[in-house]
Amino acid sequence: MTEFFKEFFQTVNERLRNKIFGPFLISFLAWNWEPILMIIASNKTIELTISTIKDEGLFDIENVLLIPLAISLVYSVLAGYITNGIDWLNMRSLKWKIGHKYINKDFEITQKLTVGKKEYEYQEMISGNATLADLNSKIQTLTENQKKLVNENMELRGQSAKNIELSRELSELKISSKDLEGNYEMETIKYDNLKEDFIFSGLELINYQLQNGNFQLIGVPERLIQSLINLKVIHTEKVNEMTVINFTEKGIVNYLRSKNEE
Amino acid sequence: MKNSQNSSSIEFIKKIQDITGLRISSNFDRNLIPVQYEKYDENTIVLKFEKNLAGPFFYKAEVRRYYKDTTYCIYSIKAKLIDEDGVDLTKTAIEIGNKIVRLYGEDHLGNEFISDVEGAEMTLGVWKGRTWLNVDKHPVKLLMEMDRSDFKITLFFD
Repeated sequence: MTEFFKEFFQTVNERLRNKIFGPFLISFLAWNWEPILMIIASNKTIELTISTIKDEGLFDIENVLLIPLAISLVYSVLAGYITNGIDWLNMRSLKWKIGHKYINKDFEITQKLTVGKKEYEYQEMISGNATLADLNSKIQTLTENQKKLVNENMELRGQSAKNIELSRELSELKISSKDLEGNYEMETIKYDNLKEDFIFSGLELINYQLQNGNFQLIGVPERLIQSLINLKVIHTEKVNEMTVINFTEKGIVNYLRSKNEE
Repeated sequence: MKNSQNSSSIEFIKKIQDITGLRISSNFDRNLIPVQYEKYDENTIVLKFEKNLAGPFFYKAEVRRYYKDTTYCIYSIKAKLIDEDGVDLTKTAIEIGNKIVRLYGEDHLGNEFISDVEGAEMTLGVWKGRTWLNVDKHPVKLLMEMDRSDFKITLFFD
């Protein structure tokens, strides 16, 4: 029984796949739904049902064969065209879709380009403004520097004038200084000569006194003795509890040098 | 008497000056430089003066002055028997010494001219020398001796 149904449904399936029988069966079932439903689902007896069907003229050659066959034939003939038409419509729709997709993409890109261009222009403008601002700042700085330089130049000119004046005064002072230096040197030489003369004369006097046995320089002015002691050319010594005077090394050198210069 | 002594002293000194070729005087000499004090005794101080001589034989003069005695001084002249070039000047010393002997005569020990043996003693530094210290006989007392390796003549001015 199971195999019977299995074969039956297999056969039906195969028939349904058939380009003629499938559409015929579907159109048959669609066209004669009423008597079929009456046979399958009526509560009446099958004889009464068939009788009813016959009476109402539902089961004739036209309804059972011709119309379903005509429908199936028309369908079979038109099915390819319908499919092609549907494909054409689908293709057209797809094309339209793709076209619109790229149009949208194109639009998007165009919009992006526009926006990018505007952004670029905006950035350029900002940078241009920044550069301009920088340049303005630099110009301002340079102007200020120029002003400073002008002021400094003025000051330097003033100082230069002062320097020239000071230089002139310095030259005069140098001349005066040289004169003074010359005078000072001359006075120094004179002083040194006088000092040397004084030392030599003093030492000669002391020597004279010593050679005459006056070792304590009795009678010689105290100021002279003190001056010669201060000049470190003579000094005092203690010999046999007696304070006596003698030449120092410096005194001997000075005395000999003065004598040699004579 | 004193004047005659003075005049004879001056003559002697002139003769000694001729013999030595030096100017010798007890008067102030600016070339003499005071060098150092020496103790003679407890009551006497001596100040030594020096000066360098130009030669050719004597190279140094030393004078000693005594405190409170302005007239008394000892005048010494020194000579080296071997000069800087290594030349032996002993003969010169003997010649000068003998000239002085000729002027003064024999000394108080009776010694007269200097012999060659004495010349050798001079070289060795052991020569006894000559002394004429008798004021009555000689107006200027004189002493000839060796001071270490130097030939020295000392005159005493009273």
